[in-house]
Amino acid sequence: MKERVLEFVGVCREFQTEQGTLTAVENLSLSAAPGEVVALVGPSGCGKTTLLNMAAGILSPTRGRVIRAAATRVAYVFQEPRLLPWKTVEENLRFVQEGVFPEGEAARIRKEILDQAGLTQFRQAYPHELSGGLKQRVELARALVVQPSLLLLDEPFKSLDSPARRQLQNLLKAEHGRQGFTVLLVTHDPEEAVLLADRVVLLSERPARIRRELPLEMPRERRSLDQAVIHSSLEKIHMAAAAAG
Amino acid sequence: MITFITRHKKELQKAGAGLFGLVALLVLWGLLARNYHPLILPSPLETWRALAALWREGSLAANILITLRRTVYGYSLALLAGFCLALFTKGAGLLGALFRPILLVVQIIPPVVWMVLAVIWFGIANGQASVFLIFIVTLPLAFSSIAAGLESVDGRLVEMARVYRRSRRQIIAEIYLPALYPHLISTVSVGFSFAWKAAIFAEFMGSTSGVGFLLSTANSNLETEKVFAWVLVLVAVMLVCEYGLLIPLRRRAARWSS
Repeated sequence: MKERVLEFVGVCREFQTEQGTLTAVENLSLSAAPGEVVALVGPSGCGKTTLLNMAAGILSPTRGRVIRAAATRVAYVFQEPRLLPWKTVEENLRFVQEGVFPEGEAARIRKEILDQAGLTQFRQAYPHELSGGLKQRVELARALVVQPSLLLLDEPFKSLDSPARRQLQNLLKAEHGRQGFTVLLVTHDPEEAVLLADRVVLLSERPARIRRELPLEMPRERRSLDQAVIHSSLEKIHMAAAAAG
Repeated sequence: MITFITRHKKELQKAGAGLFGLVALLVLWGLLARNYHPLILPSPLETWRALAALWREGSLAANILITLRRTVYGYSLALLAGFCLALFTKGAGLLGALFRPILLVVQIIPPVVWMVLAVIWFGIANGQASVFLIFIVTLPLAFSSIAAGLESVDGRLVEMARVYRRSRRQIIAEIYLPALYPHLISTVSVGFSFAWKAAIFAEFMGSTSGVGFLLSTANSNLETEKVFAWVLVLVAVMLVCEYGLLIPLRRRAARWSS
């Protein structure tokens, strides 16, 4: 069997609400190999965040199993920034590094990531002093400074304007190239999926089921440069979505 | 100086009004005291003399310190225990359901009953009975206030910390405590005067030292002017704590939460 960082085996997740049982995810199987970038694309409210929460271990599946490789170091960029309001940007980063690296090395990694994320000048700022986009940037930087083996991204670039989005997408790509972590990326933006992913998974309306899996064989480095490739892949996604829907 | 006055006009007016109220009370007390025997109502002057005598005897400062120390011990213990209990019962529905009625019972039992038990259990020779009483009467308040504070901690931050595998110690020290800080300050500042009153009561009932004990001695010796002198001391200590420590702390907490 091939090596897996993350594997969903026949996963169902139900929530008890006042209206009765709500099934967010139904009988879903999915896996991610080391270093693979898997994009989950689907209509909003279809249970994508539930999938990420199960991958992170915040939620457990109602049925089925979520298997993570031993010693998986998870980092999670939440949809809304979850920074500690009483800590500066740098302290927020240090908080997740404590005990993971010796402080000298942690400081070096921090400095590098802060620099590449364009956050060096905001190192001493508190979250409430930052705009929404900057907070999201800090979220991503915090995820990268732990050097994760599994990175979960929940629409991480949604609230950014397009130059900032481009910058962070490039940062993510560069760090992925260097660190080689596995990524599970939730997005509603097919272009972003094509730009970043090795495989795009199209999800159905709630309850989330896999409608279609599209491997993108073109090397990622070329995709960013060659807009034509993006467009052809996008077309493939749209056609697949239309055929499946 | 003039700019200071104009800038703080409102506050100065309020402070002046507050001072005027206190002076009026003093005048009223003096007028009333003329009509009664000093055993029933000593005049402000007689009280002042008694106070000066206490100061000369040297019992004043020493006993204030004794009582303050007991208050701080008892109340700190209650805050610590309240914090641990609140943390322990948080989220876990059954544990909370287990402890809340017990704390309610503790709260319902009158302080005088606890005092009787404290004297039986700890004796009156040292301060343990007083510390115990302060602890037991402030514990339910400390618990419920801290538990309410814990409820207001953003669970999403705790979730984040769990995903990043932060230890329980880190989560408590870096998330719960800072989030609780404004709550803790208001709990401490409201509860402290309550704890201080409990200390006086405890010493009055069963102790051989402290402000409450000397108050009780003066009472049994029919030295009413001394009783009044001790009351002045009680009030003064509380006012100093309130304005010197607790109000600045509360201001800081308000800045923090904004």
